Amino acid sequence: MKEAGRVTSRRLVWDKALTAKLFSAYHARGDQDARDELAKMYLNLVKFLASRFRNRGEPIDDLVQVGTIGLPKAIDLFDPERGWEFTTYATPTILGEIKRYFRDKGWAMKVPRRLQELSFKASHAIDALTQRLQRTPTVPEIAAYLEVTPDDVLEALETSEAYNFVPLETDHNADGSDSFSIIDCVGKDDRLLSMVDDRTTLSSALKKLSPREQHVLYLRFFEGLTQTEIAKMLAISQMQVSRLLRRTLQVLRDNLEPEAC
Amino acid sequence: MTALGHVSLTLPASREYARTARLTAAELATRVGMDIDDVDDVKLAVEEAFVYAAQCAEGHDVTLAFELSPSSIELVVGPFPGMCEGESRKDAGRLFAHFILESICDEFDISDRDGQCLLRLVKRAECAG
Repeated sequence: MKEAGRVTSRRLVWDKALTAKLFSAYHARGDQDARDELAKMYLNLVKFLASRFRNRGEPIDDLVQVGTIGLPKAIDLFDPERGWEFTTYATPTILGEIKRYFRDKGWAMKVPRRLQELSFKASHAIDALTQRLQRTPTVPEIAAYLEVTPDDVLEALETSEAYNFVPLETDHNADGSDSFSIIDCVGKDDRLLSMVDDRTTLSSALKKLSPREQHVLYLRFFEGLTQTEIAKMLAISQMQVSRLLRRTLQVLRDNLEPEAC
Repeated sequence: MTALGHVSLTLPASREYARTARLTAAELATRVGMDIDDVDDVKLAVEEAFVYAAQCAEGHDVTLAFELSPSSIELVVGPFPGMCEGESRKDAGRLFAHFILESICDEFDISDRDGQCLLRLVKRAECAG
């Protein structure tokens, strides 16, 4: 079969007649081979669109993978009868998937690539050193491991705060249940609630946190676990725990702030 | 315990300077040999304490005085205008800040003298590393 989609010097081109034939086969007869062929043909479109986000600090392969999720959706919903080019129809769907990826898992602010990479390396170094030393490492130890200065490590750790890691699909407890309410837990000992006259305010602020955020908050401040211990328990990195805690406190502060001082 | 040094930082009472307070705290916590769990605790505590004081000192400055010792940091924030106790007992935000600071720090207290408050906290390293 000839190459149906290819990159010319300036733009991508696809075989329109073949596209129409495959869509006809898929929509009229439910031909899954035609659907697969379309997905293969238009993978270049995904790669092209993903490449527009090349300098945002995410591996290009991950972006292509995410963008590829949008492609079958577009193929299934595209109606050739309306006279549009498939690329025109599919582009917003694919871009939507990539943008959602950035929104859910991306950097909240522009961070230099050097710092993004160092931040990821620091996260891995913390895990490796924790295992090797059987305790939480210090900043100089992480610096020595990465062959950078302690200031570089501090900068990388601070940079990680700008990374919005929200693992929505894994927002559940270690026992597999998918909800956690801090109010249910603190209600047992009432340490926090007994201090607060306005329980409704606190309850509504806590409800703005995801179950995972509430769980991390509970483990750190009520159970007294360290970030490293929480990371181990929830199978996430220490830096992810750090980010979750900081974001959690910010959300609570924003929602508990008095109207006037 | 031998003091390693004294660092004083005065910032405008505005949330946007919380990052400056946090970064300074991280550097100082590293300097006294804390591990990254403790460094993160110090960052959270200092940000919480700074925002707490900044809410009361609007339009003024907030001074953070760090006292460094081997494996521990003492921070005194203020003085800043009162209303720390009494009225604030009804304020969920402030009480939550109290709760967080009590949870993170080894020592935490707020003193109120002549309408001026001082927030004091101490964090000791779990492991000197």
